[in-house]
Amino acid sequence: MIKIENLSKVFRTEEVETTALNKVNLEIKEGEFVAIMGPSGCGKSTLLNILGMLDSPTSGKYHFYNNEVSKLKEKQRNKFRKGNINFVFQSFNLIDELSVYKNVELPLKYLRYDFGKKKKRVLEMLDRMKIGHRKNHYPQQLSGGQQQRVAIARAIAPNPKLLLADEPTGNLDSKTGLEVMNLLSELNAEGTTIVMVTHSERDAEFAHRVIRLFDGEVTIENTKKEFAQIEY
Amino acid sequence: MNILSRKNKWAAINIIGIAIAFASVFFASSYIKHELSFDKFHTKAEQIYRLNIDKPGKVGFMQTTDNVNTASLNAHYIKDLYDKFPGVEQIVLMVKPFNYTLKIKDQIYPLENAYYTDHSFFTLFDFKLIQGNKEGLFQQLYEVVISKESALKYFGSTDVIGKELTLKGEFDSNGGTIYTVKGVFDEFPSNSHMKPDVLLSSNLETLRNPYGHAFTYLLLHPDVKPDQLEVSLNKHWKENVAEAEVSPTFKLMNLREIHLKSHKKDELGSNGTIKTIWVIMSGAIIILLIAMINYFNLNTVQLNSDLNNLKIKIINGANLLDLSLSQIKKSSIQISLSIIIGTILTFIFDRFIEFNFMIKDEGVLFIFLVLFFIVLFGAISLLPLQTKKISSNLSNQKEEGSKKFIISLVCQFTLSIVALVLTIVLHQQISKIQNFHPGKDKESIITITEFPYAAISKFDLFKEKALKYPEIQMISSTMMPPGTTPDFVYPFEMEGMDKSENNTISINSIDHEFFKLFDIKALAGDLNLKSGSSYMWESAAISPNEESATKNINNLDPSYRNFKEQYILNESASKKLGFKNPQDAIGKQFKYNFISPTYFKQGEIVAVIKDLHYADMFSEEKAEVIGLKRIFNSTFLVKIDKNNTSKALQNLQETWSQLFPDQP
Repeated sequence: MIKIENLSKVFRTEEVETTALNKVNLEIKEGEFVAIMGPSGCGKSTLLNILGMLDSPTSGKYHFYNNEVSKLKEKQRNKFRKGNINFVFQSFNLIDELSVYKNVELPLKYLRYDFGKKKKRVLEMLDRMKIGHRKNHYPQQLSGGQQQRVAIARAIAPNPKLLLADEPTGNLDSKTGLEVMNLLSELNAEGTTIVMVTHSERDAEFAHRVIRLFDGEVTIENTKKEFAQIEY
Repeated sequence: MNILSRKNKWAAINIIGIAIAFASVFFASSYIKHELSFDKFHTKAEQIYRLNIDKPGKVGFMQTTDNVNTASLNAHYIKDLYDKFPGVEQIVLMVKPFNYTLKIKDQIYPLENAYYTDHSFFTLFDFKLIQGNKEGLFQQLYEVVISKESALKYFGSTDVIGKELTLKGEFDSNGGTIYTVKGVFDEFPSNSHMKPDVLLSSNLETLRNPYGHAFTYLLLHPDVKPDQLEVSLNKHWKENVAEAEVSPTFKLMNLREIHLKSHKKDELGSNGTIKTIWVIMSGAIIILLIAMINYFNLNTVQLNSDLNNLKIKIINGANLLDLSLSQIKKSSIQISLSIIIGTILTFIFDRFIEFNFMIKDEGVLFIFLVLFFIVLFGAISLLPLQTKKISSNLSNQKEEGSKKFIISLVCQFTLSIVALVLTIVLHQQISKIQNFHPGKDKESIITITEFPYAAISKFDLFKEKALKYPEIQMISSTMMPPGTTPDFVYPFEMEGMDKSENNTISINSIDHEFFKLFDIKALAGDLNLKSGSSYMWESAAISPNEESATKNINNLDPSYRNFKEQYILNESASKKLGFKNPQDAIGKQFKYNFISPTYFKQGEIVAVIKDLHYADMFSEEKAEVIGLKRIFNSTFLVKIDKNNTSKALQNLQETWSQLFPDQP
């Protein structure tokens, strides 16, 4: 599904040049649940942004379903991303002015779903995330866990092939975080490919594979079994 | 509505800004459209011209040079038009009766806004009769056509055909002349430069009376070029004046141009100016520009504050079109609300300033402006979105957004300061202009114009009786009502200056308490004036022959004979007469070469005052000499107790009715 080769990302300002990713090679198969770990500033989020086509690499290749997308312009990347890739963020990134229902409806609206189909899908997602009773509330009226469930409902509403999660439990308490991870696990079990950036060893245990980054380079790749055997 | 409530502060500022801009532009464009539409409704408007004097002349029948400041023309100038200029197809003359009253049954009314004319008036101009028939109108003498409003005022109905009214002049020894109502016309359109209330039938011979002044309208043949006719007319007069006479030059003004371009002192209505149009248009454009800039700034600031949400939308699949549609939806609600509020503001403003045109009739203009505003402000609302490159990367651009926010705020603040300063400057200018005018405390001064000679002769008696009432504080009189320019422009003789026929100056006449009434102070000299010549003396002195005038004066009671002329100069006159310092003019001898030589004889300059700006705020102040001749003072000025206005008016009316029962 995803194949990246010698992918680098360099941030340049007038004074400094920072290499966020350095010749990263990586392959992710459809249906996989991959966790990316590493210390702050190692390039995890940059890699996630590139995988989600929010950003483009400085060099290297990125194949998404055998399409080379690294050289695409932003407009083309947005088009490519639409309906195929969606995100779950640590800070939820819900739109405060929109109700829960409207937030979840957002990607479907831009995919031009007809009214009936859109409504059915939104309610289905809200029920699935056990947040249907809050559909007319606004994000500020919900707890963190509820907000993250809304964010996941919105992310999976268009049935994306790839779900990218950037520290999805970072702002949640342990119990709520566990609920969110169980949800992601369920989604993965149903066929959604998930790439998750996390600092949490516990959350990483839900993944099939863990990739560790250090100074923009992949240092270790563990399978779930290998990862479970590592003693910290 | 959710959008509005969430961002109500931004929305309120935007809505108020656009509403004010809409009201300004709607009002200004309605006003300008109205001003530019004057007299275009006449089917023959393109070919109708009014004849005026451009430069003064002095020919045999005139005792002095023409007064070029009048819209009406000495009838002598008109007679040659009938047979010497075939390009002139039709001539309509309108002559204003002076000091007449209308009597209907036992009720007497002052005759106002009335004109003598003949049958050609109804074929040249397009006015609608609601009673009577245009065919055959004014073929006979003693016919009258009145306005709907006058019919209701005089008869209480518009069904007045065949009814009679009596016209009586001040010096008519008989009971007056009976006129029969032959028609009632609908109100003249608000965009007509003339709005008469009464039209009286006359014949050509009477209208061309050599002592009369007629408003002269010519219908030119379509092939005639007005410029060429002007040249022929001026050539004709130049060739036909006697030696030592000066032929005047004439100017033809198209009917449609009169309202904006002609500002004679006896215009048939209150004319506008091109300058006013420019001022109003500029004001509206400035307000529109400020609203546009503010709207752009606020939208930019809003966009910056909404940047994260826009990125989330992009991440969720929105493209520029989706974001633009959402923005248009939001701005169209704001613009629609603004237009509704702006329209209400326009109506309130229109009612407040009492312009005589109907904004509600401006349907097409309104629809055009609504569409214009929707497109303009809709486009502006999209500009920040189109010009700012919004990346879907959530980690970028936050810093740039906050910088722009500050820049926008600074721009808005600067604009507000500029607008505030402009308003203060404008307010100070208006205050300054108002303070220049005499009688800035206007609510306490009543102006009563066009008094008949009978009233002028009894001015002292009227003053004595009226001043017994404590609510009436002071009474003075003058020749020219406020807002007008002096009638007389004649040559003069000044101590230390060469006598020249071409060197003329305006003269105004006042009563000795005029300056006290307006609280005007002297720049130099003394304004504690002695009472001027008496009415008796002045009546005796009216004669173009000095010998007979002196004889008449000598026959008067000795108490009426002794007085000396006192002259007051305005600042412009002081400069024109060559005085660098107003004080230098005091005590100098001055003589005004009036028609009647005994009038305005040699006398002393007793004071110099600041320019009064008596006429209006647009005209340049003219050099003016002021003398004291009560026979010309047909405008009475009464200063009353402003806290007791109704009592003062009642007392004034009572005094008037006692003295002049036949004069309403």
